[in-house]
Amino acid sequence: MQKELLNIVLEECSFCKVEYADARLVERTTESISVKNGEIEEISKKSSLGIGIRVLKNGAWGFAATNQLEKEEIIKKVHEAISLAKSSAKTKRKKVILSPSKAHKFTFKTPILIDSFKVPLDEKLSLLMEAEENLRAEKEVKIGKAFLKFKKERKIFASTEGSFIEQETYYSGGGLEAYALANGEMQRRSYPNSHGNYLSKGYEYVNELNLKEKAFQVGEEAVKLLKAPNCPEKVTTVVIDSSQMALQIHESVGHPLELDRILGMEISLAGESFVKLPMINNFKYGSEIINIEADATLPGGLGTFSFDDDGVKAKKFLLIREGILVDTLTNRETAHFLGKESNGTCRADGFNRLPIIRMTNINLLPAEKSLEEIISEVREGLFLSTVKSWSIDSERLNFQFAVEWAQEIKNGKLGKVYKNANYTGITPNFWRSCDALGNEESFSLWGFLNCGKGDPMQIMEVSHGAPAARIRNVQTGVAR
Amino acid sequence: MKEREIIKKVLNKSSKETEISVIKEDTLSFRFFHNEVHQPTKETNSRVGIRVINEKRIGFSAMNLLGEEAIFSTLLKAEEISLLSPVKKDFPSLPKPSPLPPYPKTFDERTFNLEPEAPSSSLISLLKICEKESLEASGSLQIEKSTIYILNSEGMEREENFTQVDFQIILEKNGLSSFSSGLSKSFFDLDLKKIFLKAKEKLSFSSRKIEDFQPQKYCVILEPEAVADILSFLSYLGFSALSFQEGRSFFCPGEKMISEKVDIWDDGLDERTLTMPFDFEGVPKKKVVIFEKGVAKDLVYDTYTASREGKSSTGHALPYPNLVGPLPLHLFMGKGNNSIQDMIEEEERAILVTRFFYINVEDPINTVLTGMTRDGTFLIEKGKIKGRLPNLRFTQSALEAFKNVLEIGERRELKKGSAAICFVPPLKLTNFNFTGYSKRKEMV
Repeated sequence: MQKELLNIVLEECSFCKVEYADARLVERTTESISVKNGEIEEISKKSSLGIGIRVLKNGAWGFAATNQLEKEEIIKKVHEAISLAKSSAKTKRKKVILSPSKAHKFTFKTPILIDSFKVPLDEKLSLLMEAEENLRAEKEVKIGKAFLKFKKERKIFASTEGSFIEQETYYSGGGLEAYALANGEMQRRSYPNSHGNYLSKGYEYVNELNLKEKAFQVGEEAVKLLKAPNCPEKVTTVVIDSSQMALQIHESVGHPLELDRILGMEISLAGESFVKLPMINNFKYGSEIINIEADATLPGGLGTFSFDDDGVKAKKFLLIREGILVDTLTNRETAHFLGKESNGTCRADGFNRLPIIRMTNINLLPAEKSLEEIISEVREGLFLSTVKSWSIDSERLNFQFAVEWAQEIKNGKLGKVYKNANYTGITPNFWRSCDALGNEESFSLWGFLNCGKGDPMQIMEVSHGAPAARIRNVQTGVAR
Repeated sequence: MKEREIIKKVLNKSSKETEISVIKEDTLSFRFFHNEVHQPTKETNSRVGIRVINEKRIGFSAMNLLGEEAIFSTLLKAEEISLLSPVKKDFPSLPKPSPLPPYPKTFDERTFNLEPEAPSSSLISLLKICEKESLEASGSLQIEKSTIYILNSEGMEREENFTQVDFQIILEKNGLSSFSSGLSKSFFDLDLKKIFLKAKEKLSFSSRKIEDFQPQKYCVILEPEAVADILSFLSYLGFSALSFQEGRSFFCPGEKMISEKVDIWDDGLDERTLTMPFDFEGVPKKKVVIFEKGVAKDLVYDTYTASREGKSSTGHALPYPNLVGPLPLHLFMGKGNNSIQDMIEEEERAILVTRFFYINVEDPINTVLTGMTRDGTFLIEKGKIKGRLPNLRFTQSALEAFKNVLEIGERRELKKGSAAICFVPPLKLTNFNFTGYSKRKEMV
């Protein structure tokens, strides 16, 4: 039945002589469970189903989406999309050019060991209740939170070029948050990252998280933060852990290297990029040890799929090689500006949004040193861990990130804990000042559920793999 | 069968305390860049959320289909979850209906029935003007129409239509940018050309670029767009009864916390905002005075947070489930006497901010925010605009900012803050902490 609906769209589009059209039928199911201070904060199951229709007519895009899957409604939506394309075409200076792509017929499913949706609710609740109680073993922890989130999405993509691709993707994950409060002050400590962590896996990942056991340490650290002095304001050497480096990659490499931003297409909301096309293959983005890849084939990544929403096969490629900018994230609409074919990063949030360029899994490749070695080489500096807050300018140049946990480094050893730590910098300066990267052991994959872009807003899941890193001459403790 | 009847029919099938809320939406959006409409979209969607309370055990399920069968199967899922859910001891019953006070129109009928051709052709005409004047326009025009139904087993039965039109435009010329926006219930009340002309006027403010900047505390003049952002972050951090009850809020009722010049309140029934007569539990919205002459007065409540303090809900529930608790969605600030021009002319040295970008919270309880300026940040010296500054970073407590209000502008505008619709004036503040800027020359 669903395949039939897609054929109806494509037949109508062909009848209307569009230059190109695709249709995505997306069925999404999510489950969220959250426990706060011994009580249920949320148990919810949500689902959605609908179809998004994208047409290229007179050299311009038109897009229409509906949750009503009757034939008449769908044909109406085809005509709405065509009508929008025709009116938009009146403003086009140049027609949209799609880079070539082969037609594919393919089926993909995220490999999982345990289907999270089949694990009984009482098992999940008992895990969260116990983990949350353990967070509050310290009396200064006034708010404890333990949570799990699961998602599965079934998507069928069909295009007038003959592609028919069916994909079923999953994610599972969760985390802990302890809030210590005293004397008008509050400190949060999270595990394994702020907002938890999520991988494209089944319930086996929840088991790997060891939430019950980790909770004691999380609570203790929240209390330690409450009693710690403020992070000092100084220019110093910082050693940043894998989770915080993941955010650094996201904000100051992933977003500025989206070609739609570089071309100005995102200026109205998400902003643009300091990167310009002539910088490709000659701009020194970082130091020579910096190698950053986009890899939509990485097992476990939230940006892992078989084909993107342009119907282009998932790819793995370098964005920065030995510190030099060598590529950007592209889709079929923008790739021709580089004289290339799309590298397959076009994704839409659900059935009801237009596909745009999104990060896949953007990873900083590890080097050879252990985290201990990196720290041991620092005479004076700070160790920074766990995302707390993030802000960056509309060109992705000036950033300021706060972290939950900071520790003094003195003569190669970790020392006292600091609270309210933050650091700031200018993107290329920061990456050029990186003089050491951790090895495979310090490398982890982090899944973010909340990457916002587009207008109307689209929320996308992405992942970043990162080792720990050492950066020289970083301004810390801004306004502390 | 009409949607309301279907919802009622399913509701009657439940033997438990049950709430069904439905939001049915049609959104038309024209996104444009460099004078081209590049992303026109039209979306029809809905959200059906069902909450079942089974002896204080809460189950929730949601989906986006409106048929009887789909809504009934969502009810069954919510019931199933409620059976497994632990007891939430202090959860009261779902709210009982109470009469709505008279309220202004929540939607514009012509906008509700608008076809895409009219907004499309208005926008195209405007983009042609930009093209003719060698201006590069980017932005979006969005028209949302929605119907909200909230019915519960206690007899609550609400239904209302809403319209919202949002236009944002960035103009660029010779490496300079400016911004303007408009928000209304009616497409026909929103003068796109006037909004464009405001952005165009802003482009002419100054073409002198000041590349170097000394980060420090400055006197700052915030336009309404920027005020809406800071106010809505302050609201998110502290105006909710839930954050107060959990000890996460800065709010101390009865204490003078900000400048005595400042009055802040929430009023979903005021015709100057995007009126909403009831909240997402169906409870009538009340006007809540949050700050009066700088003194902290009241917070906003939903049924759950109100019952914890033995109070009544003020009608500020968000759609269930939400983890932030009740929030004010229709904020107002009292007005002053001055225009932005007056504020500029009387100042020896200050910075004029058009709008902020990417604000985030560094220290919630102390309301410390960081963020950037964009699309027009100007240095004022001796009462005149001296030049354009790069995008500046601030690291500043929002509460302190409202403590440091020197002047309040007369002309208030309706703006979309990050967590609320705000009807706010421009403000002049002292000691606003700029801590950095976008140093382009350092990246070469």
